[in-house]
Amino acid sequence: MGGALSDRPPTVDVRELYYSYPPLIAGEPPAEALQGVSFSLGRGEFLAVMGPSGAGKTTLCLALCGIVPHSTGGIFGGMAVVCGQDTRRTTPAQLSARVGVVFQDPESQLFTTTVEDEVAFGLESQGLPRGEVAERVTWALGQVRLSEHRERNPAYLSGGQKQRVAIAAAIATRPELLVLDEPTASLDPVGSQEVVRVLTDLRQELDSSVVMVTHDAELAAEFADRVLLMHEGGVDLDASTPDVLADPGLLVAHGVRAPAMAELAAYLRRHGLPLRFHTLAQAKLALSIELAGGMRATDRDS
Amino acid sequence: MPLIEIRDLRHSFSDGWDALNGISLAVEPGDYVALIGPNGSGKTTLAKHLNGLLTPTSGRVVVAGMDTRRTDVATLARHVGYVFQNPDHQIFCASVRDELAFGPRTQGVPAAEVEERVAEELCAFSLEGLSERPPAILPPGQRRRVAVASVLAARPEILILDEPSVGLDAREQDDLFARVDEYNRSGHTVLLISHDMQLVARHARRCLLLSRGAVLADGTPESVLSDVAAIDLAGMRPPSLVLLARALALPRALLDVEQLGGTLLTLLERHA
Amino acid sequence: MSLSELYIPRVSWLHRADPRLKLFLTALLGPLLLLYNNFGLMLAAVLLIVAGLASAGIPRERLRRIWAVMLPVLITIPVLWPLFYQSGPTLVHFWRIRVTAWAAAQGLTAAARIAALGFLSTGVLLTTDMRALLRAFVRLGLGFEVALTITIALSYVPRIQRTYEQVTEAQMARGFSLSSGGLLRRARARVPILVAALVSTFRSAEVLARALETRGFGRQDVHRTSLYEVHWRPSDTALAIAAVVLATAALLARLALGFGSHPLYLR
Repeated sequence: MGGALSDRPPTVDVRELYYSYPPLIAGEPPAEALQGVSFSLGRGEFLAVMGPSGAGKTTLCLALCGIVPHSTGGIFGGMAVVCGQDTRRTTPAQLSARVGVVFQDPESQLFTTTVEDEVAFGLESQGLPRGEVAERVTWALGQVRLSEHRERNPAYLSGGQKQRVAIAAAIATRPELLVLDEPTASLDPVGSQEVVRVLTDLRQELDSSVVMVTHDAELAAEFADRVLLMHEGGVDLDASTPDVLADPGLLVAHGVRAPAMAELAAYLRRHGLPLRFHTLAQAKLALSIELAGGMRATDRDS
Repeated sequence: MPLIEIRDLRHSFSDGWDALNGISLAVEPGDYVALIGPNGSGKTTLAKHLNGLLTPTSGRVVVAGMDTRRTDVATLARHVGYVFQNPDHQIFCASVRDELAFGPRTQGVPAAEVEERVAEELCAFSLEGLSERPPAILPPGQRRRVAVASVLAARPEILILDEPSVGLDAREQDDLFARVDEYNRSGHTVLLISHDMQLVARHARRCLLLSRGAVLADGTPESVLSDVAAIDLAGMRPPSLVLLARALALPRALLDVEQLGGTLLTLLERHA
Repeated sequence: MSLSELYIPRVSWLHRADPRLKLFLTALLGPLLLLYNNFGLMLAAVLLIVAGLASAGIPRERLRRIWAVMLPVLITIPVLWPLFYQSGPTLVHFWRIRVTAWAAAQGLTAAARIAALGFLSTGVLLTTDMRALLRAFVRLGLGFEVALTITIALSYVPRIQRTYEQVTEAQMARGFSLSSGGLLRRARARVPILVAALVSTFRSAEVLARALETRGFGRQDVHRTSLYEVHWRPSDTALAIAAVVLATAALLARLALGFGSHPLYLR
């Protein structure tokens, strides 16, 4: 079983990626953003990218969709192969067929007058026939639960709804890679929850690989298979989610507040209870068993 | 006498939207109050009444003894420092130093004291190395620090922060709040608007839960954030620690990992 | 209320018409208005156009707002015109100003013409959705990139207005006074607001540009399709023919017969 899957080339293969932006003020040195980043992402894998401000997380997202370096200039070194395409030789528009991107700000990334047009835009750019475009728009809107809002002007939607439109627009082309740059950072808890629910459903529906930048460790805990901890343009740690979350101190050192559950588990471990959990559901289960097990032991004694 | 007194405040916008539906509350000098609630609950609308940007459709708002219906924004702004949600809306100077100096200078503070305050805030917000750079080209986290620093430099009696933690990593948040907490300890009143419950629990001493323009709960962060019924009614999700405590039928709902952990350990030792 | 927010969705003959027809009618009737000089005819034109828009379901409130925008100009022109043109028999004489009937009529005609042109040109925007307009431009041969840029730019105006308002609030909260001092001082006080508003807008525009790219904008190797389509119907052809006939007749009447060349008299 494993053999068949591992034969597929990775969705993302980044090697020694180096990038520096052209300086904002003439005469100053270029602003270094990425200094030797290497990682790979298999098909269907979900990677969370976390780190302090300025670590290069957004630059990494831009490099995965080709905007770096094609639209930003600067100095590019190393290699990024995304969905089999070398980003140095493929324009963002060409890569857009296989890479869907959702940006942080729900206000700025929507630009059409109806939700339908917004979702159709990427499909139209690919030159798909009208019938297929309509079908995929219907599918994508269903995935993000916005079917009734098809004819509405995106400008009048709530933050959570806008972000869901952006997600629909990104997944409509059924991309091999979905990149989300802090999708919930600008949203209130209600909007955040909406997006989380959509992502949960999408995980089952799509077999895309996902790269999500987030400051929210609980979000990463919920979805990510692996976590990339970045710092000053480099990767400090590339490990499975449970491994990374088991060390809240490491997260704190990278400007990420550990999920309350992971901190609780670490606390209990420090006091002799060898428990590992990082989501609420896991915590409920593990602790209920512990508390029940304790009572059964008392019953046995008496 | 309370520093801020609000009596049956109602506010309807011109398009018919009833943003505030009868809010009454009092804030004493030195209070550290947090306003939580989903978008559209009226948090920002309420805060804008405190410096006169909005005036009541009915009811009264009295800040530092001044009725906001009869006082202009410029005068109220001397007592109320408002840091907006989007720092880019407040930043316009050519250098960080000028930005910090703007507030006190506008108030006519003597030059020597302006210099002193600027130096103090540059240090408090770790902006010394950036003092000559134009704030507009700084990364978002630093821009937010500049915005908060520039409002603080004016030393307002009441400091209002509207979603200050958005865009900041955990370390930047902690540094920012270290300064804000210090500002509160030195006697100033702080009003924090946030939808981050953990943030509120860590810093505020009083918490108001807003929903649809009304106050659903008013008390300590611990009591409000463990009021699952009220938080549910507001359409929000209680902090995961509170949910865990409830699921495990613990005697008290707790917001602190150590407290919760301690309670669990005690319970488990009892059974062991 | 900016250009991109004029559209009122309704079901009417004008809404149903292909945007290309509406653009054609505007291009045809506009110059015609410039050709005619008779006050009576111009007034009739204004009333006809407004009636046409009303028949398309445009609410009176919206029409009133357009009048309100034009009102300062509509009042100033007839008042000033007699001060500069004084041909023909005198109507009224005070101080050194001779107001003639012809000049008064000319001023009123010019005002009526502006009103007519105003309603005519907003007619397209009032009855056409942006997506229809965009598609019509593309079908007419304007490149997609250019057409999209125009429609996005139009929709950015309310955004910039909103940002400007928010920045003004933020600056007032910092103690900025916009109402003190003389005219020059107040104008200079707006500069920081403009700076902050523009910088904010540029930042937004950068995200927009990136979003466009990640959705395939500017792709040269593939021909772009469109989900939305505009359909030219037989009724559009009929209207176009009728308009051409009318325009030709009006042109002949004006040029060959001198009809409507004088502000007061029909010939």
